[in-house]
Amino acid sequence: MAHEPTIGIDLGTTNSVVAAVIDGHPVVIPSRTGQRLTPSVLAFTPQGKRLVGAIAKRQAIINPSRTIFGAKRLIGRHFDSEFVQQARKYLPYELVRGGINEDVRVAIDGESLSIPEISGAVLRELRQDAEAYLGVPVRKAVITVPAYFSDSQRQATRDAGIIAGLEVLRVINEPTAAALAYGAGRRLRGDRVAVFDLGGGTFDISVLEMMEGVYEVTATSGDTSLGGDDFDLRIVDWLVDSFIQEHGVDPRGEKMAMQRLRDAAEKAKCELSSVQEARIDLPFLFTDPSTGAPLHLQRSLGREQLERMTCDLVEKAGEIVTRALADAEIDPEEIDEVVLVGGQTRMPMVRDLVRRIFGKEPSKGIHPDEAVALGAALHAHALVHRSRDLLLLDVTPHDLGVEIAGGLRSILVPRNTTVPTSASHLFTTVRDNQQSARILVLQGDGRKAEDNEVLGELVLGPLRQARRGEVEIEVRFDISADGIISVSAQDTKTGQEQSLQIRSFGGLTSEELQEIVAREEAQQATGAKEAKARPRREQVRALLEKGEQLFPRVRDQILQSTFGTAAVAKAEACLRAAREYEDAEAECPEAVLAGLRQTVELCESILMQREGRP
Amino acid sequence: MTERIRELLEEGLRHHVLGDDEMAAECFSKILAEDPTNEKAIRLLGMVRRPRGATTESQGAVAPTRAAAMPQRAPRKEAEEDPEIAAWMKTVEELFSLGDFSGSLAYVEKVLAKDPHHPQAQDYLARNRRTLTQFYESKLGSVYARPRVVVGPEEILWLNIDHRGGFLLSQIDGSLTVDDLYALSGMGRMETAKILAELLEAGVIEMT
Repeated sequence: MAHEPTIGIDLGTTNSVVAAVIDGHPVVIPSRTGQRLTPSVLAFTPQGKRLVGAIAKRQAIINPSRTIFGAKRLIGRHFDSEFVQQARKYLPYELVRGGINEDVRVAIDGESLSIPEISGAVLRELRQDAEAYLGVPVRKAVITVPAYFSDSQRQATRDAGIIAGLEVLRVINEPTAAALAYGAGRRLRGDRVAVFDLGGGTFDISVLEMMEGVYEVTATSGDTSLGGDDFDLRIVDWLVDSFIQEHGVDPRGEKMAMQRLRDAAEKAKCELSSVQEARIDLPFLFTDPSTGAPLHLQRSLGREQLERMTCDLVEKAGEIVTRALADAEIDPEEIDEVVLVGGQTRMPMVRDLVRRIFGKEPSKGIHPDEAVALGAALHAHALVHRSRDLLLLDVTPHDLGVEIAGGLRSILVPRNTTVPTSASHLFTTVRDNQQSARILVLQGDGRKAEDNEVLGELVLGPLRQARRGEVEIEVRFDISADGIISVSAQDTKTGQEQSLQIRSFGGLTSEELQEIVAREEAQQATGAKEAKARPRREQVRALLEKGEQLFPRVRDQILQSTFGTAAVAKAEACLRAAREYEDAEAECPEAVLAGLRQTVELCESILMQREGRP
Repeated sequence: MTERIRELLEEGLRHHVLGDDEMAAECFSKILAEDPTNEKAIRLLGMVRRPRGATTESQGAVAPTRAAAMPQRAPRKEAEEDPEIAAWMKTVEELFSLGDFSGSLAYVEKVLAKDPHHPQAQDYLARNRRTLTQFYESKLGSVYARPRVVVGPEEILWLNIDHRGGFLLSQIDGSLTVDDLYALSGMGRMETAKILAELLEAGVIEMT
């Protein structure tokens, strides 16, 4: 039996990529417009049209308050979190508190959009690209997330997948996916792989070790505000300064000019990874406000010049890598392979940095923009085909434990533990005649309890009267293959027990999620209907234009014929009705279309006769 | 259009709406003395020389292929109307009936700058814009056609466009449809269609 098609999706902060395994090989699926990268951008035009991907990015600066980018930074976060409050200061779109869970949402036209809905729109676009390419419906997918993503962020990403009409087989770590793509066909057992990921908006460095079906992330660090965009902005600043120097006017107030400068900067930066000099030609960039004269921008940018402008950014990445390796007590020489991920790693200066730190050539033969999606596709394929070679086991992304006396944390399930799993630990009371025991379930990597995320709490009580240390309570964690955590606490002597089930929570309630899915499906159905009606509307529009042009020229002649009055009345009624449907942007009924066609044919035949043509 | 011709045009229209067609004709004649091919002046001169109340026919260079329906004048107490606005509104109606929708739109915008809630002006604004959009779109063909730039970068520098035209031109890559360009232009549909129609007419782009 043929297996259902599966896809792997790298849902990036700046760009996303979709891939699938075709004839045994992982391949990137181009968008319907032929692009291999899809910007992770969703926009709403002032007319209310929804734009996703490249077209949304191209109008981002012109339409800033209605263009949502970087949703990945916000996914699975609470509105009140420090991160969101900081983000509110610099994001051009409005963030609001939403739902009963007070997760962060985006306000557009008085309505609030959840972050999974925004990411869901990007995922849906990728799914549709895959369907167009593969020619069959696609439902099953593996989606990647950064290694440091919490359970909430992972669940919110899963929710985004559901909104996009996908069944999310697994959410896996990006460096793991990259290593998987790199490792396909290679024997990597016991190898240490460093994944250096400098994408559009973030920088991550991870060290992985391949052990028994698990790529264990042994060290990870990064900077969530360092990426290719910073390099682009340096070029934009330089272009603006040179424009001011030449023309004496500042184009920064003109959104169209800034959009072009940003696009041109990115293009020049990419070119400079392969050539020594890039030309930037932006005719009619700006209109001089005092003279009305059009002003152009024409510049050349050399690779060395770009390196001077951005060397501090590259050095910053270098410092992060060095610190991360030192913290994890890993000598750079112990790294067997360095895999480069993210478009910015194509910059020769970045590659030089990697060589300098690790003392070896970074890996070749793997595309930095595509590695993560290819790895995800391989994993999705392996899951469906039950292929053991490439099948990764699911692991817990963070330590799981409980709060203990002194505000500290006791780990029961260390991170990277394969699931399903269970673990238990015995705790004792800390006071004489302690009335109850409060078990605070924590997730995270902080040593202090307060530095971790609280997943839930349960209270065991009333406890029997006893001296401190005499009541033994066994706390047990069970994690199912679906990631559902069950926690129980039991007095080992009396058998008194309390338990709690923790489901990962991405911000949306199940009712909200169902409502969004239903709304999305309705929207998709309307969109499909409109797309089907489009050729017909085009036909009506063309015939109407022709009819309105030709009919006045032949009207008098028709009137003189035997049934002229009736024919004219009928033609006029057809034209009027078609115009009304056209103006109302409504679907023209078949009868009106047929009448319109007849009218045009009548007009054309009369004119041909008049001109003496057969 | 030079500043002097624009002034003469406005002066002529002002005379016309105040009922002095003789002075109006003089202004339009002066324009034709300077620019004998000025279509607007030819049309307006024809209008002021026709007896008042006579029917007119759409014939201008910017006239669309179908006659636009005249908006119904909303009942408004004359005593409340600013005389300048009343004069401009008369011009709006005259130009609309002549098929000079861009001229009519310019006066509508003047009225709305002074009285943003003027109901009749808003009605004319919508109708002028819709008629002009249809006109430009009829030149472009399908909104799902994909424009493509057919001149070299060196020729683009010689074009007579502003930064908005420059922006739109920079977005045309053969993959985007006219409809896509409406979405990302940051301008209104009419403005975008107008620039595209001008670029098409100038042979800078072609539709595929």
